[in-house]
Order: sequence, then structure tokens, then C-alpha cells
Amino acid sequence: MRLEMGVFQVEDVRFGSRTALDGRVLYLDHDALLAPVLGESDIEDAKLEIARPGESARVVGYYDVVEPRVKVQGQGTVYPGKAGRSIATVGEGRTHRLGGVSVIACHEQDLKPYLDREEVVRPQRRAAWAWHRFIDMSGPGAILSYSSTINVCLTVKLKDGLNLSDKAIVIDTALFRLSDSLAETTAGLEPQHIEVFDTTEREPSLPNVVVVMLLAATEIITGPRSLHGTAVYGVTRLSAPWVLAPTEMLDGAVAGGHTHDTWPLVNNPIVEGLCRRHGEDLNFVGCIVGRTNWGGEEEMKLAANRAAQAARLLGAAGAIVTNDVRGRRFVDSVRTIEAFERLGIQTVFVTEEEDNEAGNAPPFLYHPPEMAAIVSTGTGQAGPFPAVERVIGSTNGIDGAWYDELKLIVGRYGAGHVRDHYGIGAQSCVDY
Amino acid sequence: MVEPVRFLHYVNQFFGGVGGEEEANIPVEAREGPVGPGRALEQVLEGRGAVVATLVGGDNYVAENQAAAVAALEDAIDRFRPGALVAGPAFDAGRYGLAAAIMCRAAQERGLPAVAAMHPDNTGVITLGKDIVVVPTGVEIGDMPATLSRAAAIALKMARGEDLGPALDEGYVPRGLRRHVTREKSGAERAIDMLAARVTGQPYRSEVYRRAFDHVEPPAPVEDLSETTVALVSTGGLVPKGNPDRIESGRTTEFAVKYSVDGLKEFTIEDWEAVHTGYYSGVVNSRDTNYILPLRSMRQLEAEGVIGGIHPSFFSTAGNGMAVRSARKIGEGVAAELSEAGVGAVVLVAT
Repeated sequence: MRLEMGVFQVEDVRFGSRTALDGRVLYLDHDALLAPVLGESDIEDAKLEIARPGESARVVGYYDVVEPRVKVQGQGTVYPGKAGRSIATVGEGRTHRLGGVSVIACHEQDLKPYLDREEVVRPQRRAAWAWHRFIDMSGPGAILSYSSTINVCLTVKLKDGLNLSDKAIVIDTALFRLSDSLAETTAGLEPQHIEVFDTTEREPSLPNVVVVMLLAATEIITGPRSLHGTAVYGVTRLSAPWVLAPTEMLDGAVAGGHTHDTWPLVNNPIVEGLCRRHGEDLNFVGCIVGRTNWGGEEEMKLAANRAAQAARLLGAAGAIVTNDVRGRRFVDSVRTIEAFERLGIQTVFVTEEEDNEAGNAPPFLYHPPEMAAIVSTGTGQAGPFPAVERVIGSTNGIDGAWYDELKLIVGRYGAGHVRDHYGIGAQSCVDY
Repeated sequence: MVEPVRFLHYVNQFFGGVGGEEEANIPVEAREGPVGPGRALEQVLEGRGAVVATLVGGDNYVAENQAAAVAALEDAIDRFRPGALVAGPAFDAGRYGLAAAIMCRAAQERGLPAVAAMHPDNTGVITLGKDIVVVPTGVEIGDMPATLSRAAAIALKMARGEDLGPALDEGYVPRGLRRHVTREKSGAERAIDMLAARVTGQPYRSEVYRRAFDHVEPPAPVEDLSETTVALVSTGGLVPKGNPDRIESGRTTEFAVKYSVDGLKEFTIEDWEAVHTGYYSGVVNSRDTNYILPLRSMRQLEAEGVIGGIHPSFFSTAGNGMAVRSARKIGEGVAAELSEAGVGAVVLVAT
């Protein structure tokens, strides 16, 4: 499949009288963009704010981060299947993206359960509200990808009584509508730059490789038909591995939500990087998206075997395997690697590792010999985070301590701050 | 002109020229100047250091008489005032490797920088590798000067008071310590490079060294279950409703709580709950608490005489995200108490 990606790099975002892109400045009509959000019956209140890199600001309680993209040629719509969007196959034609801009959805949350939980916390543990994710826009804590993008932050207060799936629909609807409005400002404009991603032709003399992305399914918590969590064409349930063209990934066929962000899924540097190497020293023959959180060992192995079989049928000699959370999902990943290696498909595993506890704990829960080539993206540890002047996002009834210095977050069991599952950064660990 | 570093060298009875296996029980003895491979060590030092004395010890002796062996080391430290210790190379000789490791650890504890040389699978590395610096060698006696040269380079660096860099850069066996670094390329670039190397048969270096896990020897099967008291242990954070003792719901650091199940037929959702963060909203707290700890089924087995009885208390902690050292401490405490109470078997439901 062949996809042209038209890039519109944005250098500032300002509120103005209409929503439009003027050169490298994106203007937002605050009231017009908020009107449809406030019109939703399940949304009680909403606000729209801009957070800029370098600002002493902290975005808290965020739900998802997306990059504004829009299809201008070819079938389908970006982020297909999310919140009722078309499920037509994407990945062909031309897509426009606004570079340097993220749209972030935050939702006002009832912090009481967390504050109750805080009583449980022993003094040496970080405060319970730090379970909420946050983005620092400046200082040593500005380490996430979205610390360096201009962030259009939509905070919504939802009606009480919505279940997780309903919340996902309401928030996603508002988020993608906003993102679409921003991306559509590029309609009729010539991109500053067009990059062509084309993996149609294979060069027979080069080795074929695939990317295997393992994504935790939320079915175990929310049931099979929920819209809550990472989704493939909108589907979040535990399902047999999916085979996608790399360009489908760039159109958001796999999107996030709740604890896994959409932004790194459409800006996945492994997918982009392999597309760029395609035809040079390897053929990038596809992405296999597998789900994790299976019910038991046999299911885990079956899912792993099917992913490996898909890779074999694609003719793969090698695979980069990624995962998105630790714990039992790590074992799903290990089983997948074992299945690939058994078929002679050589793997490279990109993963965060466990906290080393000053030499007291091994980097992984489990490490069979098949896991022979590993890229470590660190432990997710980060901080401390200096005090900030402005807090954006879930601020209703907020603990004032959100403005204060936040303590170091020890990366353990997926609670780490960085969560670099796709090797965006250069943080890692080495043996001493 | 930098003062040459005074080296102490440890070798076993064989390399010390005393004899083979029949001399493995000789005590540790100090000799002035280099002996055996110590001559090669002095050569590779090229004036940066000199081997002022050699400790020669029997392989069995050191393992069996650690205190006396370490006392001999202490005497040598007093007498020769060394600036560094090199031990070995021991290659794959297990007892020699262990002796070298013991001497290195003891030297380090006394402020003397120490480097051993042996095969990474040598007993010395397996048992004490976390605490000492070891230069890897092959299995068989190989290129002595090259091995000693690598050991000497590290020992000289340590003697100068410099911090050692990463294991693979400096050339020592990883000690199990992982430190955060920022690499030159992004994770994605490194992954693609590593894959391209792997699929074309080029060399690559994994960023996580595979190490041995602790091995827990399973106890022998219970001989007669009908005569055995069985205890229940939960890592699911099972507590009386309301969590009266406020146990942590994850990343537990401190202790396991103990609650009575004496006379209790089953756990009910009215009176019990699991505070493990992974079980807040699931079946356990809404439908059947026995899912997390099968008291009802165990009572049935007790009534049928399959098991001798159920220990009157169960232990509970939340196992998610628990640090290994905390898990070990908590587990040892629970095991000791149950063992003392005469419990013969434990049902620990994985969470």
C-alpha cells in the first residue's frame, strides 16, 4: 500500500476569531470548537486550553493524546472505528498531519476513591493521586513526546453514572471531533513537505521483516464490546492477531485511550523507521497486532502461535516485537517471542524493564534463552518534577499538591511515567 | 611519575606450583613477589604496578576454612600494604573460582580493590558475582597475558579510585546492577539496527544480559494429606470489608496481615474484599470472594477428610508490583510462622 503523508508543521497555536491555519500558526475559535462538546447530553461542562512547551504548566488526568490528521485522498477516515467512525480500510491515498500539535482529552474525575486509597498508602509511597498521569511542559520533567508539542487540551466533566465504555464513547467523540476540526484546516492547502510511505514492492534479495505489536485488551475488565482501551479499527476485545499494512498504522487503524495514548501509535518510530528502510536493506512486509491478557497458558500460546504463523505466511525472516504493559502481559510477549523463534523468525524485543532495586531484582519476570535480542527503553522511572505555576486538565476539587514538586516515580509494574513502548526516546539501562 | 600500584595476587595450589588435587587442602600462605601466572601479571602491568606478594591457597581449604583464609589475607594486607588484589584466573575450576571470589569479597570489604578472573558460569560468579568484579575467561586455560591484562586494567582503575563504567564497556561480568543511561540512538533506531544485523547474520549486542533466576527447590510431595494441616495464603489483598488494617493495595513494602478463618465456612462479599488493585472491580468483590482464596472448597475437602485440617489463620498481602526484596522478606516471615505452627502444606493462589 502507498500513502502520501502531507506535513503541516505548526509553530504556534492561538485563540482567534475563526479556526484556520495561517502559515505555521493555527488559530482556534474557542467558542465554536467548544459548542458541540457542550451540546453533548453526557457532558456537563468543558473547557479548552493551550499548553505550550517551555511553559511552567502541568497537564493532569489526561485520557488520550492524538495528533490531528485527516484523509484528503483515498478511502476511509483516520482513526477508523473509534467512536462510531467508518471502519473502511485506511492506509492509501493522502493524509495530512499537523506536526507539532497534539490534542489532549482530559476528564474531570472524582478524586475521592483515590484520596481514600491514599489513607492506605504508607508514608514512603508516592501519593495516591500520582496514579493519575500527567505531562510537564518544561523543566527536567518535560520528557514525554507531548512535552514538546503545542497541546490543545480539552477537559470535559462527564455526567455521573457512565460506565467505562460510555465514558470512552463520549470522550472519544469530543476528542476526535476537535482533532478533525483542527486537521481539516489543511484542506485545500499545499503541505510544506510530503513523505511517501510505500511498501508495495518487495526486493527479493532483501530479508522480510514484520512488526509485532502486542496490546493489552481491556475485555477482562470491561467486557468484549466495550470501546474502552486500545483498539484496532475500534475493536478492543481479545481477538486473534490482526495483519495490517504499515500505512494503516499511520492512519490510526490502531488507536489508544484511557491508559495508552494514540499519539505514539500513529507516530510509532519503529513503523516509520522500517518504512524508510524498506527496499534499502530490508522489506517491511506488515504489522501484526496481537492482543494480550489472555485467560491462561493455552490461550496465550495459541495467540502467540497464530501471530508467528501470520508472520511466516508473510514470509518474514525477522520481527520487532513490542508490548505495552508488564505483569502477565509480559508473559504473553515472551510466549510470542518463543513461538517466532521456534519458526526460525528472528526477533528483537523492545520493552521497558522492571525496577532493578539496586541489584536485588532481575530486569524481567521471565527470560528464556529465546529472548536473545532485546532493546531496553528503561524502567519508566522519572522525576522528581519541579513545582509548576499552572495546572491544566482535571482540576475540579483538585489536590493542591498537583502544583508542588512531584516526587520521583519509580518505574515498576507499568506505573512508570515514561511508558516508552516504541523506542521514541533514548533512555535505557545498562549492566554494571 | 605515578607511583606503581602494589599488587597482591591470589592463586591456587596448582598455579602456585605446590601440586594438584592432592594439595587442595593446603592453608593460604603468602610469598614475596610473583609466582606462576603472577609473572605474566607483572609483565602486562608494564611498570604501572608490581606484584609484591602472592597468596597461594588450597581449593578445598579456602572454601572450608573461610575465616582462616581471610585472616591470611589480612596478614598479607598488613605486611605488604597492597593497592589492589588480582585473583586467578580460575577459568572453569569451580572451587578455585569460589576461593578467588571469597578472597576478592573479603579484600573489598577491607577497602582493597579486587578483581577476579574466571569463566562467567564458574561457581565463584554464580555465588558471589553480585558482590565482586570478575573478568570473564574461557573454559580452558587460555591466553594468560590477555586475561591478566584485562584484569590489571580494571584493578589499576579501581586502585586510582575511579568509578567503573558499564560491565560490557569495561570488560567485566555484569553484577546484576542495572543503571539508567541515555544511549546515543533512540530505542526504535537501535531495534531496527539490531534486527537488520540479526537477519543478516551480523553481530549484535542485546541490551539485557540474561541472568540466572533464583531457583527454589520444591519440597517433597506431602505424604499423607489427610494428616496434614493446610494453610491459606493470599497475595490478592484479601481483607475484612473496609480494610481495617489499611493494608497497601499494591507495591506492598511492609508485611502480610493475618486474619482468623476459625469456624468460618466461606468468604462472603458482605464481610470480605480484595484490595489488590487488579481486583477492585472484578468478580472477587462483586460475586464470590472465594475466587481469590478457596476457603469454601477447602472446607469441603476438610469435611471429606481429604486434608487433615485448615490452619485457623490465613495470611494476606497484595502482590502486585511488589519489590522482590519485599516479597522475599514477607514470604520468609509467613513461612517461618506457618512452619512453627506445624502447617504441612500451603495453598497460595496466584494473583
